[in-house]
Amino acid sequence: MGLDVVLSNTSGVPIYEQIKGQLKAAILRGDVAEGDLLPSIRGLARDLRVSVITTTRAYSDLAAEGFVTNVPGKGSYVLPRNAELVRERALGEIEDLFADGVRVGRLAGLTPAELRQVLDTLIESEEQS
Amino acid sequence: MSDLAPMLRLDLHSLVAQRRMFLIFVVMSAAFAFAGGVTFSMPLLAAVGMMIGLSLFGTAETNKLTMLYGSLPVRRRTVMVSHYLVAAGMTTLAIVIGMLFAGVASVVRGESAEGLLMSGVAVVGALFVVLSFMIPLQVRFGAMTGSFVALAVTMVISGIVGFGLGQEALAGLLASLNAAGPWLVAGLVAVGLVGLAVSVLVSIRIYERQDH
Amino acid sequence: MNPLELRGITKTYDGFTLGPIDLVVPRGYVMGLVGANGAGKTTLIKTSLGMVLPDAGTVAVVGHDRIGVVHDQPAYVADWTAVLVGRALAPFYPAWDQSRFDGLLAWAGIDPGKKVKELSRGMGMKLQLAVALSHGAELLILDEPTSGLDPLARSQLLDMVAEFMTEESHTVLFSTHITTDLEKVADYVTVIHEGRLLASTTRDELTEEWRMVHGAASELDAVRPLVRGLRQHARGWEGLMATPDTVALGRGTVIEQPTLEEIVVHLAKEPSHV
Repeated sequence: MGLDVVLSNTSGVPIYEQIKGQLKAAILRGDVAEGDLLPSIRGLARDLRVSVITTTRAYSDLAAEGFVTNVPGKGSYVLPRNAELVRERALGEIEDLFADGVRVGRLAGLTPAELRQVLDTLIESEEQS
Repeated sequence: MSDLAPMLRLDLHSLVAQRRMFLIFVVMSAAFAFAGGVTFSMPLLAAVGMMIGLSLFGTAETNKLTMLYGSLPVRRRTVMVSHYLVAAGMTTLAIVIGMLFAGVASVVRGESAEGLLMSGVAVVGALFVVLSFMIPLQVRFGAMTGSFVALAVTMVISGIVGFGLGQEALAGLLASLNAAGPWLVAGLVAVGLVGLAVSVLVSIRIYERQDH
Repeated sequence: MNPLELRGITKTYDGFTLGPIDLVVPRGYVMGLVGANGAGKTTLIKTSLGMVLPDAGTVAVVGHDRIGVVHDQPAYVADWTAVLVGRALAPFYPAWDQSRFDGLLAWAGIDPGKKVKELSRGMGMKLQLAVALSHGAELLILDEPTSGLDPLARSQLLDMVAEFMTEESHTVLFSTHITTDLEKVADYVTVIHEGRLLASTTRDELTEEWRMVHGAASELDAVRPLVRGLRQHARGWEGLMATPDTVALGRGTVIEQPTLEEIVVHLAKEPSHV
C-alpha cells in the first residue's frame, strides 16, 4: 500500500497525534485514495508496537475530522477529500492561533504593522524550508 | 474426574527426575538380596519403598510445581488423588521388583522362597499404612521436613525391626506371618488401603485450603 | 464479558494487608499491573488464578483452559526436555495445537531436546510463552516475565504480546516492576503500592492526570503539600503533582507530562494517600 507511519519517541508529541498527523498527511497527499481501506486498528498497533487504545484514538479523531469513516467489522475507509471542509477547519484553527498572537502582541504594546511583519517573516521562512 | 487422566500422566512424567534414585534402588535391592537373602533386604526395601512413594511430593516441591498445577485446568483434589495413586503405585512397584530379586536370589542361594509373596504383600500393606500418616504431613509441612521425618522414622523402624529383633527373630516373624496365613496379610493390606483412603481425604482438605 | 474481574479482594499476611482491591481487566486490551516488588502484584495474580485464597472478595475469571501464564521462572520439572513439557501439558488442553507449539519452539530457538534446567532465563520465558500460546488461550497473564532478561528477549516478548493482541477477543494482564515495558504497549494501567490500589485507568488518562514538575526553591513552600515524592536539592526541587494543582506554579517551573515510570516511582515514595 505504501502507507508509512514513522514514530518518534522523543519529539514530545503524543504518539496518537503523530499517527493521526501522518495518516492525515498521507490522505491529503493522495498516497491513499478515496475508498481505500486503512490498516486495521489492531494491525497498526502491532506493527508500530503501540497500544490498541492509541491507534483507536488516532482513528476516531480522523473520523471526527471527516477524513475516514470507521465501519464496525470492516475497518476504516478513506473518505472523499472534502476540500471545503478541510479549508474551513484549517481556517478555524488558524484563527485561534492568530488570536493568541494578537493578544500577546497587544499586551507587549506592538503595533499592527509590527505584527504583520512578524507574520510575513514567518511565512517567508516556512516557504524556504 | 475427567482431569484425572492428564494429571496421572503429568505425575508419571514428573518422576523422570527420580529415575536415578530408582535405578540405584534396583541395583541395591538386587545386591542386598543376593548378599543376604530376603530378610536382609527387607528393611532396605521398606525404607526405599517409602522414599519412592513420597518422591513425587518431593519433586513437586523442588520444582515448585504448585505454580504449574495452579495454572492448569485441573482441580486441587484431582492433583492430590493423582499424587496418591502414583505414590501407592510406585511403592508397590518397588516392592514387586525387590521381591522378584529376592525370589531369584533365593533360588540362586538355594534358600526357600516360601512365604516370599506373602511377605511382599505384607510389606506393601505396612507401607500403605505408613504412607497414610506420612503424606498428609508432607502436604501440610512441606516435602523437606516431611520426607526427612519419613526417612528418619522408616530407618529407625527398620533398624529396630531388622537388627533389634535379630535376623532369626525377623525370619521367625515372617514365618509366623506366613503361618497366620493369608488372612493376616490380607488384613494388613486392607488396613493399608483404608488408611490411604482416609489419608487422601485429609490431604485433599489440607491442600484445598492452602495458599500456593 | 471481561476475562477477569476482582471485587473487594482482601488478603492479610504477617504485617502486610492487600486490598480491598477492585480490578477489572477489560477484554481486548493490555492491562499493565505496576508497582514495586512486594507491593502485592503477584498475590493479586495468584488470587486471580485461584492459587491464593482471599480473606474476602470475589474472583470472576475465565476457565484455566483459556488462560496462558508466564512466570519469571518456568514452573516445570527441571529435568524435562522442551518436547516433554509439551507432551506433559497437552492432555490438559482440548485445544492444544502441537504444530503451533513446535513452531514457537523454533521461533524461540529452543532445541526440543534441551532440558528446562539448561535453558537460559530468556529461553525459559520463551518456553513458557510457547506453552501459553499453544492452546487457544484468550487471556495471557504475564507475571514479571522480563525481569533479568536481555533486551533482545524482552523485545521478543513484547513482539509476541503485540501479535497476540491483533485478535480482539484476546486480553493480556502484564505485571511488572519494569515500567518501561509498558510505556507504549499498555492500554490500561493499574498501580499498586503497599497493597493498595493507587490508580486504575487508561495509560493516557494516567499520564494526563499527573505532571512531573521541576521547580525553584522559592516556589516550594506554597505547593509543598501538593507534591508527591518530593525530592529537594541544592538548586531546586522536583516531584509529581496532580495536573489541576499546577496552575498555582510560576513561570520558572518546568511542567511536563510524566512517564509511567515517574508516576509509579513518585507515588510510591511516600505512604499512600487516601
